Amino acid sequence: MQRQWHNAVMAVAVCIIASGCAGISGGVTAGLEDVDDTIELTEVPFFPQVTDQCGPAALATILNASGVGADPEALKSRIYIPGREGSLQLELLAATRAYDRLAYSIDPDLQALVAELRAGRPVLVLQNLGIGLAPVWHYAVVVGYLPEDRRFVLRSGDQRRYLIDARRFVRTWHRAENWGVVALRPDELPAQPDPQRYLRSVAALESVGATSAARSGYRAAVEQWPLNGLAWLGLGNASYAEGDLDIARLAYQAMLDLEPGNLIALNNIAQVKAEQGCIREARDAIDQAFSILAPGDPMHQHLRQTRREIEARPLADTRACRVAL
Amino acid sequence: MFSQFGHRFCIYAVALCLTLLPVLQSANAAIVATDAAIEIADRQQQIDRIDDVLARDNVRSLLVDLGVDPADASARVRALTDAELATLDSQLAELPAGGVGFVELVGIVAIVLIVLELLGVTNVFSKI
Repeated sequence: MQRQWHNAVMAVAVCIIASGCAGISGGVTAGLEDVDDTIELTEVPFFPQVTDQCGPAALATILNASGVGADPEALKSRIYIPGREGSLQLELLAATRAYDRLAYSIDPDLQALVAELRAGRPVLVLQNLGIGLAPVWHYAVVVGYLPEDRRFVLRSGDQRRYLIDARRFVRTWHRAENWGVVALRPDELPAQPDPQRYLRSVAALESVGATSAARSGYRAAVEQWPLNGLAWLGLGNASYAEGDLDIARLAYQAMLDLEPGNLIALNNIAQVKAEQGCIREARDAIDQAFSILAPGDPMHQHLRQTRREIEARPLADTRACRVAL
Repeated sequence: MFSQFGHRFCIYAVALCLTLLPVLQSANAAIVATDAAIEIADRQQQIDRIDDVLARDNVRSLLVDLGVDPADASARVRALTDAELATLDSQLAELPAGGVGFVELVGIVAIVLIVLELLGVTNVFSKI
């Protein structure tokens, strides 16, 4: 009886292992079939990892490749957590922003990874070298792919040029949810840009006070997606934060043209016009917003606040405003 | 008769809930998108709020407890967006922290291979 039970367990174990293998020999390396030329970014610098600090070493690698002179020792105080003997993904992103670089998470697939390499950008990846139940997390930087050997080239640990079998890499990467990130200069777009994710990266940069870098990011975004209202809103807000009210107003107006009746655009236009001394126009904009405001809209409180501020100003338009008209 | 009606009512109610579930979820998704836009629009308020967010203190002390220098911890917390802070506040202990060294790596692979060898080869092949 006990023996039977034992056999059953073993049979299940064999099934699990076999199915795992079957999955791996299947389409795991999908996205690599079309890659028939060697890609290797030999210029990407290498920072050998000290003890358990693969995070600072890997981050220093992509930052330096992006033109930022940051060394692992300086990064250690930003991202290393002694009690966890490692670094968190979120803090890697935050530290990237601290150097005025966009931290852009690539699509979680090999195609996106190769596209970044082709664009000349190394990709920082998280790998799980263990298994689901006993994870062993490791950061490395992918710098190339050799189709003839079916191997990836990594800057990893103390290995400047670590060659890893493509399928093995894919498995370790997959167990870390295919997480990969590139460091972009603020005016640089990723190889396969997703508007929402790109704007989110720029907004994160903006929200920690890097408004100048964020403004470059939004400018790149409106050039790439001129019909995206959020991109114009971001450009408007970053310009506003930099004190460039004319550009801010034009950007908000562009958003409003794309999305007539957009309450955020109307609110911000009213605010900027009031600050420029065009009180009548500011009132018109805020009145228009209230005329289309639905009950319970989350913008309600915000619009009321803006209206209060506008009404507190004297109605006479300034001379500068009349000239602008 | 009445209990049969009650039974049927229950079935209809559950069916209705299941039908509505995707609708409700998509409604929530749309609301999040609007919130995101407002957050971006509302920069000044964000800056004002930064120091007030309780999560900031909490995450800071969590980092200090984990051996981060208190001065570094303050700067690190300031570098995070509100959304990131909220994630760290609730999941710092569970999030993966990449940090294995290359020497350990080789050791772990060796152990895994030995375990597989013991489990897979000696047991499985001798029994089946």
